[in-house]
Amino acid sequence: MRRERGTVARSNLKRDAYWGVDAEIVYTGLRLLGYYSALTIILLVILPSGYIHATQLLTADGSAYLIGLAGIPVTQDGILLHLPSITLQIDFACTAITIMALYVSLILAYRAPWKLRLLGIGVGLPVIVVANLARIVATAFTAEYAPNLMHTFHDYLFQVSMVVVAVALWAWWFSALNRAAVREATRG
Amino acid sequence: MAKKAQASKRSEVTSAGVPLADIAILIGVTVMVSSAFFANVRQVLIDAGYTSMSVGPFALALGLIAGAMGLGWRRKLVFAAALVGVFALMSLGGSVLWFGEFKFGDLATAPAELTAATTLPFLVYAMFAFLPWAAPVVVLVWFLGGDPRALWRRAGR
Repeated sequence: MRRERGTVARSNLKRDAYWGVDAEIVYTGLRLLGYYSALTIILLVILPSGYIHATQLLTADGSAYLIGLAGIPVTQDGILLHLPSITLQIDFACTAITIMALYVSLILAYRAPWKLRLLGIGVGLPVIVVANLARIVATAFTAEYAPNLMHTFHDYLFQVSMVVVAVALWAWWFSALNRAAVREATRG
Repeated sequence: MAKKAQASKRSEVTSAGVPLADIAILIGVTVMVSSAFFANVRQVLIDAGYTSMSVGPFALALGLIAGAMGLGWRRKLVFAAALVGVFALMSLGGSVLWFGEFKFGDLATAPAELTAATTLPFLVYAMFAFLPWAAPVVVLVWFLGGDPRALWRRAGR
């Protein structure tokens, strides 16, 4: 049964296994770690450090605009968003850089044509950016209208929502990869 | 005929839907196990710059993922335990015990002040600060056999 739910991409896997996991899957995981480590070095050490602050500012700009559009009075002071009852600070973690790096590493970790990889990255990153802005706007709403729930929502619900968005994107891209593999096999 | 049989198999695999009861139970179990574990190392994590934010949603997400997996209970629990263990290990690795010079908030500001002497310790610290998010995904990839759709497919139970 498990083989039947498998796909063309999976059916090409090597038969070697480690602890019951196909070797290719183990390698995919290890490649994910490798790409993620490389991205961490690029993002934190190789790129000019000012970009992190610039990304925070950009996130704050976008959030302030959307919060204002949603009808909550907001004034922006750099990475600080002053709402009527609370001030939100857009930290490094609020930029979703970590989750974007993770998503890109995941896409790169699979053996896939570059065209498909670029499609995954090109569609996925904007979706994560939009989801992150929506998360910040939702946090602002919670802070204004249900302040007692703000920390629970911000610390738990919205964080989990980002994980769900990333997993949904991963599933969408993996399906596209399989459709491409099926087309390739049919043509062959 | 063959087509009909294939369609029937596909329907059998995908029609069961998301196992909500499993998800609810696993969220409860994972949050409780994680809370109990992290209560003991909480101060270490806070000293290292981590907050409950790093732990709570993660436990919740792990429960959600483990609960949704189309695997047996034994594998689900092994999966949840592996994720909590990996996360704990990486969190502690990045704590003050090893690289006291840097804290989580420094990821945004420290790169501007790096010198030749501090680059390597910072890099090692950064790896430990970032890897807690990647290592569990690796475990997830392994448990799902690389196919995220296995989360909601019930085959193989």
